[in-house]
Amino acid sequence: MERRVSEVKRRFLADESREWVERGLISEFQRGGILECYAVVRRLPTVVLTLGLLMIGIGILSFIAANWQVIPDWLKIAIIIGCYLADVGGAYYSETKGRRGVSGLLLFLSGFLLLGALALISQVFHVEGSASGLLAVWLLVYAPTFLIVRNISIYMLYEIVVLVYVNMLYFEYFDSANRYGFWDEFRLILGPWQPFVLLILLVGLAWQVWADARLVANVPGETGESKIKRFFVGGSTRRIFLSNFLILNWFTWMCVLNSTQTSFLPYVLSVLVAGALIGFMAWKLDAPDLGWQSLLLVGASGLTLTFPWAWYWHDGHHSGDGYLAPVLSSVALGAYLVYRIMRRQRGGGFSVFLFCVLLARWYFNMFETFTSKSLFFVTGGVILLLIAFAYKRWNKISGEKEVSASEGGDGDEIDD
Amino acid sequence: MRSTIEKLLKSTVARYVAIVALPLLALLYSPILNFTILALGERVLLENVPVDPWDFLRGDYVMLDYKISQIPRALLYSASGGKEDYDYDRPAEVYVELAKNPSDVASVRAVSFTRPTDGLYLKGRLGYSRGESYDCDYGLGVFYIPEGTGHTFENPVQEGRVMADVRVLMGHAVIKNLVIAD
Repeated sequence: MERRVSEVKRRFLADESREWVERGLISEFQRGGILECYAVVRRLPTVVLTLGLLMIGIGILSFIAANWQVIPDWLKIAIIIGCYLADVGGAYYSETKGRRGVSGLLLFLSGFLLLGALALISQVFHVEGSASGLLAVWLLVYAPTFLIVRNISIYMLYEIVVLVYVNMLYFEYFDSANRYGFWDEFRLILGPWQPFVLLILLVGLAWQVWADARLVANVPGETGESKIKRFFVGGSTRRIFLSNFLILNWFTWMCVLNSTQTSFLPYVLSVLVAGALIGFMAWKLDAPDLGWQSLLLVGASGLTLTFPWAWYWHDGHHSGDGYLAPVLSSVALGAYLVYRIMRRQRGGGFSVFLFCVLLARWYFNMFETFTSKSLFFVTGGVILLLIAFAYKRWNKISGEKEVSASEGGDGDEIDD
Repeated sequence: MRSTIEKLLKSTVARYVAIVALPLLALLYSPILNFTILALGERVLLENVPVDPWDFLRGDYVMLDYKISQIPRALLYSASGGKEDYDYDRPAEVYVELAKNPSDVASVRAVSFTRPTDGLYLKGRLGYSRGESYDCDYGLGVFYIPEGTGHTFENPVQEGRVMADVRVLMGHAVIKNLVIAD
């Protein structure tokens, strides 16, 4: 019975075993036998699948939201809360049955349900709320799930929402017509209670830093350089989250406080530079996790630069000609992502995801006003799923070619 | 303290209670508050001035701008004891006292920076100056409608013939329905 491993692990094993043969530890025949024990599992890029399914979900949800006037308000609320509780109940049941994977997946899904539930309940009562306010509530109430459940998908979801939330605050600040001073405006945007959300986030994160710093200090005989590397790279996903969060916000704060321009451009470029610097650190420290972060920041800032408003300079003047700068940015970002995908670098799935977001951005731009919302989302979701399948197919074909070129065709593959 | 928390979180039930407690509070807060206002609040009709709609996630909506959202400078001047620059204190919360005519249509009677002890009033947030008046936001700017039915409201909203049927309780308000005047 073959063991199913990822392509990265299979490749690592092939390289290592070649080294063992050269050192005379095993024979070529034994190496072949070892490699035959492992079959490569090629999965659809989870993140693209998630995005595709999410868009279909939003399509269905928005269809329901827009057409459920016949249901009494109390029943709508009961359905919304019931869906959330059923999901968390399912997670609890799965965990008690020892199926931690299913439980983690359901708790991950509960994050989306919670966000949808908060938005739908406010819709039931015609509450006019801000998007940043909605995210602040979500961050607060989903924090226990993030802190208690050690699940990479939940961690990633939370990290992305934190980044979106913080950036949204900056954008709202830039967007306000008459700035009196950063803190006055900050209070105006946040309202009296939202700073507490940020405070809770920062205290929680500071606690993580302290715990991690002690961990680093307690390793005997470690050099300064390796301490720095351990601190920034480490094994803890929360530490990666923290370094990402801090570096990004250091740049943005510097940018906001020192800029006299009423423009997004210095801010967005600072995030791009932060991403490039982290990418440099990834290369210098040989730390793939940092490379992933770099991709996140470069991707986020690159995508922002595909919007015309990102290119407005002070006094409302455009720094380019209409859509020229956004289109050039799209081409540059698209080429960079395709390069990463073709080079089969680490984070290929995420590159595909960003590429899909880039396509979705133009899809929104061109078709959003022409089709009904539910049809628009479902079509978008189907297109993303098709891209995911095409990527899987390409990955399989090119992987087979590489394996047969380097290993003489050994290594079975299993589709998942 | 830390070990107590760690011990507690070892229990699956305790972990799931911790996971679900805050979300449940947040999900129940709005329905409880709004159902209470709808059940016990006083009926008020708010006249609109023209505007228009679409929300990314939550569906089609009618965007509403009320006549009572314009607070005359003179009222603020007297409420603040002669202070001129209200922007200086932003974000300023104000309490707008309302007067109703026999048809329940409301208008601004007075403004105060402290909560009135009785009477019909709305809590709002003061915005920017528009010449002789100031914007005031009550959080009542949208009304969600079924997908594709926006045309029903398009002309009446543009002509300013739509009124919001609102329930008000202790300064908080919820829109119950939209009324189209003939």
